[in-house]
Amino acid sequence: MNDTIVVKIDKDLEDIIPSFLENRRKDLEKVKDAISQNDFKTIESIAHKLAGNAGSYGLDDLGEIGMKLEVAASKEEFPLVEELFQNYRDYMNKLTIEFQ
Amino acid sequence: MNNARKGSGLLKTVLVIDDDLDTLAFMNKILTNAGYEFLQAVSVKESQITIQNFAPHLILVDYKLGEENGFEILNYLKSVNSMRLIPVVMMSSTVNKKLVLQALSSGALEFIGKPLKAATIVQKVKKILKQHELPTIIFKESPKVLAKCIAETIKINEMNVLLQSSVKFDTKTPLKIDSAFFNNLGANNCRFNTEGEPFVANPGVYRTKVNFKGMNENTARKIRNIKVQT
Repeated sequence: MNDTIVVKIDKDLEDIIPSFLENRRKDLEKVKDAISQNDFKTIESIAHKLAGNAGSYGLDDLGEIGMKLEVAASKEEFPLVEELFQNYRDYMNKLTIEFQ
Repeated sequence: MNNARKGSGLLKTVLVIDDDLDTLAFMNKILTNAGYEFLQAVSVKESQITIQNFAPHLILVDYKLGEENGFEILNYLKSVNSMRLIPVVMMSSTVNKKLVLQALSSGALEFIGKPLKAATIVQKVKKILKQHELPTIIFKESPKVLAKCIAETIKINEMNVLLQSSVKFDTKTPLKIDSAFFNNLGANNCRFNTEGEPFVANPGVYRTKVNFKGMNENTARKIRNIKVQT
């Protein structure tokens, strides 16, 4: 299993990527808290935004996770939500960005 | 949000309405780089204020705005006569046929799915702004405007004056005359109306007889006493 996920991103976005990633890490914590409280509405809302914005920044796979997490949260499918949260966290931990 | 000091009038303005700050940051980056003035709003109320203040050339609105939604923006634009011609694109990561049709039938020009890609957005904004360039608006109740033109005084008596200008006036058109010469005569309080068909002095140069109304005796005397230097 690879330890890094390398994504090439347009250099134009270089100055706004750090705050985007910082916000995603904050969202991870919010999702973690929401899972512990069975707060599917909050998870769905965070996942909906992730589904909409990650692909714009060139992180299409993260957007896919967001899309699946939104659907799973809307159906309150707890095991799947937990699994997708793990995917989300792994993705963020392994992510390496190269600007081009 | 940070829309202060916007609205210079030199650039086309695009308002993006979205409650996701990262989407706004992305749109700010790509639209500003593409040469547009970027405006943003995160709620319906903030959008209404921004629309009133800036009358943007184009609006991109997210379907989901927290507890609110983009249809409230479409309805607002329809309710304000002066804003109803602003083109609106609705966007969402939730894309289904029903929602798209509802958006289009509610007044959205187009519907685009998220994630938004830079090239697609810039291309779409450019295309829409080109299509909606310089709209011709026909008023039901025409607003009055004051149009000024330069004219020369050819001759004058206490009943009328002959003006020469590049404007061919209709007969019986009320005029306002702003002139130091007329002010010195005390004629600035008179009412002025064109009379008869203008005479073509030269191609594109017309002489128009303008009648005085409401002239007092003092002004009439001053006109009679004008001494033309030879």
